[in-house]
Amino acid sequence: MNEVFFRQIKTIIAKDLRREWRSREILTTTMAFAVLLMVIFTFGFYRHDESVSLVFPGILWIAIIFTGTLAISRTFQHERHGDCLRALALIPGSQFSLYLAKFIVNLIFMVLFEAALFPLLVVAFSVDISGAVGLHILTLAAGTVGFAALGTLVSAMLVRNELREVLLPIVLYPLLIPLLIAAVTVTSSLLDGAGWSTVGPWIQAMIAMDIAYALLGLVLFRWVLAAVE
Amino acid sequence: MTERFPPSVSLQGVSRAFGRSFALHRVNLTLSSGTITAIVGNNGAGKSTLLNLLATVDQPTAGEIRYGEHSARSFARRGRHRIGWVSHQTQLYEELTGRENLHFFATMYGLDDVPSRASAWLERVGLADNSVDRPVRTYSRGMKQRLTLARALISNPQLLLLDEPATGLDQQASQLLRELLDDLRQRQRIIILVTHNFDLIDDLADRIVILRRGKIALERSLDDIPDLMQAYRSHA
Repeated sequence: MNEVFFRQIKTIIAKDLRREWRSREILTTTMAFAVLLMVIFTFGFYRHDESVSLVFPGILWIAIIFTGTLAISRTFQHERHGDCLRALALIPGSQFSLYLAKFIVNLIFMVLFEAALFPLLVVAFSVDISGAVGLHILTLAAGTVGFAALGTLVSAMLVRNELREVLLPIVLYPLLIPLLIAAVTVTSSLLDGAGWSTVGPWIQAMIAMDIAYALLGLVLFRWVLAAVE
Repeated sequence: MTERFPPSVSLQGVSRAFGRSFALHRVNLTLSSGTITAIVGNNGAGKSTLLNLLATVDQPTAGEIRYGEHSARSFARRGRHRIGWVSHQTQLYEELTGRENLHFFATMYGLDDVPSRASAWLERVGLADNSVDRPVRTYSRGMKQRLTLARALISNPQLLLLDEPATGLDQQASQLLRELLDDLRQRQRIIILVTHNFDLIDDLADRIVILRRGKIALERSLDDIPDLMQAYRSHA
């Protein structure tokens, strides 16, 4: 880890954000998709009774996963155009900086659309989260970090595959099942009034999974890049 | 790789098979510093495969490539940054400006004094006007090719792999390319030029390698070939 490494990460993030600022490709589509999902779910599953706590966690995480998939599938596509991925592959140390930078970029995009999606869903389903706002945000953060860490790796694996749009969810979702089970369980428990004593172990498990996914990404990304370059 | 760049790259019995078909078959070749080697051949002769192998982004299925005393694996780990590659794709970000592209790659290479280096290269390839601050997607093919050359050369590479570098270049830019390559040859770079432009080969190359169906059909100094087109027709 030297100065060049951190400069590389900063440079890739700045490049991706500048690119997105000019094209507005990822944020426009993910925001529109998130709102669309919210509308469909609201019409399809809205309940006035207490059963809302049964459907809300699933709806929230399905919306996050679907919209996140849309965002993550795009971040490596830009490197494929013009074969920039190959130019990057010739640069020493770029395999680690590229993974970490793309992971951070994916996190930024996900945080931005979640910042819109989560309050919209809360309002649409009239869910009361006032007692545990911090824990809800912590759960969202833990789920998002794990999703972005694994999603970045899988998205890179499939970058040259013609069927990548179809294969991304097929490969990614089964690997995310443990994290999703924990995320849905925590959200559901929080809506039922549970506190840290109940959800704490689940959130700790999610953070452990995040670390495992990120380490897996860092270790495997070198080989993934070698295979796709 | 802090030591001196190897004076030669050698391919010893190199083959690259895709399934049952060979893109390259038992190729023996030595590429020396201060030399421009032109690689020619019909479509599917194995030229791009050869460049991919030399760039260390692909591995031979048989034989060995040595970069001086380094194996390809060791060189890929330690010396890749000393390869400059102009492939048939631009390897540029279309939404970024020409200047931003050069800044990006120079920073990724860990170079110092990025803005002045980028400006110097933009001027060298004749892109020092207002166009450098426009997105690359608005560039003509020739302008993209000039920028591609600057992108490949900004890190001061020792091994240059050029796949049709004159594509889209006008007369003036073509002359510029000749001057650039001549200068790099004098500075002892190893230069591989894949092209169908026989004028460029005639003007610049020291040696020619004609590939036919993955095998070397002819390898000779250009001084020993009186009629380049005739040699190509007979061997390609």
